[in-house]
Amino acid sequence: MNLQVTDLSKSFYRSPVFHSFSFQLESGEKVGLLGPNGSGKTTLLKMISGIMSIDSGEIKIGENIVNPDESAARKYLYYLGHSVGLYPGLTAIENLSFIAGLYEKNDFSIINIVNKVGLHDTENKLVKFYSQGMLQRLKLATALILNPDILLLDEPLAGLDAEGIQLFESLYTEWRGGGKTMLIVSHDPDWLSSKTDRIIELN
Amino acid sequence: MLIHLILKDLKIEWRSKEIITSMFIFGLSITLIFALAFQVAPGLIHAFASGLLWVVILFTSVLGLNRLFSLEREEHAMWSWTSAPVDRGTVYIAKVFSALIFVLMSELLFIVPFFIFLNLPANFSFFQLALILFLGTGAIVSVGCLISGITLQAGLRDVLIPILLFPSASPVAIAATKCTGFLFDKKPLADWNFWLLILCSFFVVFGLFGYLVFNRIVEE
Repeated sequence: MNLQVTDLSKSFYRSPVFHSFSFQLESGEKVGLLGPNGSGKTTLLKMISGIMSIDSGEIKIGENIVNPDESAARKYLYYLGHSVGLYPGLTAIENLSFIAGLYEKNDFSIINIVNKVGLHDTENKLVKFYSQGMLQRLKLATALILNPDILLLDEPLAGLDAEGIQLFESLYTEWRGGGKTMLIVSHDPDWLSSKTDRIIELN
Repeated sequence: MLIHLILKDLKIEWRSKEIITSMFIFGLSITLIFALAFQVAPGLIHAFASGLLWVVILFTSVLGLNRLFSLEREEHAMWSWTSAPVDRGTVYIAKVFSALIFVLMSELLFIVPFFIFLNLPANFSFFQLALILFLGTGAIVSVGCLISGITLQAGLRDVLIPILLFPSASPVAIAATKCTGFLFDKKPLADWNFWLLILCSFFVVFGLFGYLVFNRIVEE
């Protein structure tokens, strides 16, 4: 599934972050987003995922336009952000089951996936007691359950220990083999260039 | 999907019991303050009772709505559904039902102490009281969920919710007070069904309006 951003503009309190910004990701392409703090990397991913409104322009996922009134486009992507996006008052299993329900995915595979990301001992623990690394693993589990065509990965290694990084590497290989379209944000240009086909630099 | 969203709120509340407990304790505290304040003129209590009841309900609703929507802000939990292929209007309707359940449950808990502490006779139709409470609370939470949604991204939301809700919900409070007053005075339903229709209209109109606009107002 391809992703197309055309003439995107976004300002915060009259201070423009994006002005007529355009780019395209072909189906199965892996693109890195690089830029200093405050350059709008996370903002861009939030706009693509529909969390944040745009001032003007158009974001298309396949043939579907990302629009607050149309939910169709959102079913093709998952935004793995560095903020949590999970309910602290629910357990890991309950959070995964809730999100799977939102995407109308069956939750039969949740236990297997929780085991796969190494959270089998803490699956019934409330998410508010999770460490940063465990939360990141839980978000990776969400991406596995939803199995979307497009993955928006915002600093996917944040908080992960050596074992967690290894887990991400294996999942990344799986996703690359599966032809997923990926837009990855990182502050590490070397790592990013090793993982992606090309890099977009934001100023 | 609606049930799925409501169950999530119920599950969180079942575990923490934060919303209903805080609403009940707050409602009970206000009731006690009213009971003590009206000690000097017990004869006035009957005339004011219906208004006092809705003041307590309105205040406790603000507390409940604030907490219910705070759940969505903690750890950006709302991103789970704002980025999902879910009609956000359905999320609003789910919030209205969740809030309605929580506020009605807290009302069930403090309505008996309300009658006991204020020494009010309870010789009226309980079915009609239940109907007024349901429609009045429904109207308050449908307005309240819309305002809570609007202020979801605001920094001063704890202050903004009561500032915006009290004027917006004042017609509901007036209609609900009228209905309850007529009920306490044992007037026939035909005399006050007009006020009941106002409550019903508010519930439906704000419910539909919230459903239509919630898509836009929850975006960052």
